[in-house]
Amino acid sequence: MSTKAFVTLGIESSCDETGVGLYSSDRGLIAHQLFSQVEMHAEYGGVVPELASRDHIQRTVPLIKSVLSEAGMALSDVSGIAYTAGPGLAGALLVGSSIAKSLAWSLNIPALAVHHMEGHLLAPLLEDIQPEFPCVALLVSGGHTMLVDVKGIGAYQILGESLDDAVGEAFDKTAKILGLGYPGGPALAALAEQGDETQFKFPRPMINRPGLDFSFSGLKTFARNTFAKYPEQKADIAKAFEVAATQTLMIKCRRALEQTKYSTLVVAGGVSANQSLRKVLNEMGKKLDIKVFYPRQEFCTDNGAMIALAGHLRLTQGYVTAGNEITIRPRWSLEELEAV
Amino acid sequence: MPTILAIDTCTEVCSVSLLANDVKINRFVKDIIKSSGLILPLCDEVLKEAGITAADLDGIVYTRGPGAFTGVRMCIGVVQGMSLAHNIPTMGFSTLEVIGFGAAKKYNSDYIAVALDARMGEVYWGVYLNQQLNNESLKSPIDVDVLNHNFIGVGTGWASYESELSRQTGIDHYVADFHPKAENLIDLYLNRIKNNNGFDDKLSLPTYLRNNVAHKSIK
Repeated sequence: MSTKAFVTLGIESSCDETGVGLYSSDRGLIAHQLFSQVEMHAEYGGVVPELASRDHIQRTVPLIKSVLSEAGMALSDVSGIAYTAGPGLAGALLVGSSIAKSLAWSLNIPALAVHHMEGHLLAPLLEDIQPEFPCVALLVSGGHTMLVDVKGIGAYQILGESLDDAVGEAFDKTAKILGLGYPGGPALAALAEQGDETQFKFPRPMINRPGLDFSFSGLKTFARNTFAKYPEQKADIAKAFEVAATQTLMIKCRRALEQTKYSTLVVAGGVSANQSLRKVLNEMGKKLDIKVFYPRQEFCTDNGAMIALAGHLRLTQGYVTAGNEITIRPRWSLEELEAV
Repeated sequence: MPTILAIDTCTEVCSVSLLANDVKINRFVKDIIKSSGLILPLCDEVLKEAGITAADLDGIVYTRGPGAFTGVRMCIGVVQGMSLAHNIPTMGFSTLEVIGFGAAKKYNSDYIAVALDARMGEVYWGVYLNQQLNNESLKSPIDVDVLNHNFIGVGTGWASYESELSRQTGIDHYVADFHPKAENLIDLYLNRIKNNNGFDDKLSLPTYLRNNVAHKSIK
């Protein structure tokens, strides 16, 4: 490896996944590993913040060591450390931030607080074929649903977001209603494949109103009421729900693309792994001559690779989170970021 | 004498102590809002004052809990990061032991009863008797050990559950405004190495005592 390459160590601990990644200026993504707590929280029917934090403090350092070992590198090869400082669960964020800041301080290298959603938004840049800016980004996960006008890295304007449940949350809650366990989003999508689309017609929330905001809690209620009446038709309900949710997302994406006149759409976050959503958006893209980009499946969920990349893009431009204080931003808007 | 950094952020205070060139440099901040976020700047200050860097440390000594969960994890997180950076060995002590040791020294007594307010009607409890911590546990104030008036009570629990604790223990002399101090961690470390107990190469991990923090969903 060239001695001039800048190597960024990325640490993600904002929710229920511990992720570590290594990104270098000459080789791109070198290594990354993830430890998911999903099974642990499943027993509780949702993420328990205190348990998440307790797990992160046990996993982070072993994961850093393991990633360095996979890359055949030592900490002395690392030029800067990027860590998720928000948004997310405060206790969970503090674990990654404490370790990252003290590691950077001890090694006398820069540390950078990364916005978790910027990590997701830039995840498609980990692929060989990359989107160009400006673009519209649809960020869809268990905690977020938003459309963003991306003028460039760090230059973000939120065009619309969910007024209630995030779309991933609605998937999980509907899955719970159908008895598919937690987190049931992927199980709901799998069940939907066996469903008949013509059996039920769910509403497309807020598509008749101007604007780009979303609302998914009504869809979940509609699913509950339908299930109460037709308990035998789980797969059909799952299908109707998924079609309504993905169609709604597509309609708002189309509206955002028309409004901005951009020809590129980036889709990221946990729900971007959903195949039906990809199909609907790809069809729209083909029809409107819009290029649609997604991260590979493993980078749709939270991961350390995207944090390493997002941090790398700033650290290599001289951005540093100044001071040695350990601070987190559990609530942090994308719009507060500085353009690179 | 080795160069040792001691760190505590487990309760509402935050302190560091650096043993370098046979001298201790101490910092203590009593500010619940900002204290734990200040831990690295305080470490930076004491190392600069001694003219050394993190790479020069021979060991890190820390409080491993119990205490406020996030404070405990911040302490452990900082220790893990420093230890990882330069492969520095670590040694953890119970927050209750650090308080008990400090009180034993200050009041020149071998009989100390430590109670930290653990919220939810409970205390983190420990009996520091003849330089040893005993019975470290999470307890209701009405279930702590029955002691006698030779003991001195210390820790925030003695403010929150004053009457329950004094009734149960038989202790009538207590100081609630008594906190862990990193400089006492250094002394505990020196005592421990005298007894040939060394550093730990394992990953530093917290002691919470309260482990029942979530209820499983009923399906």
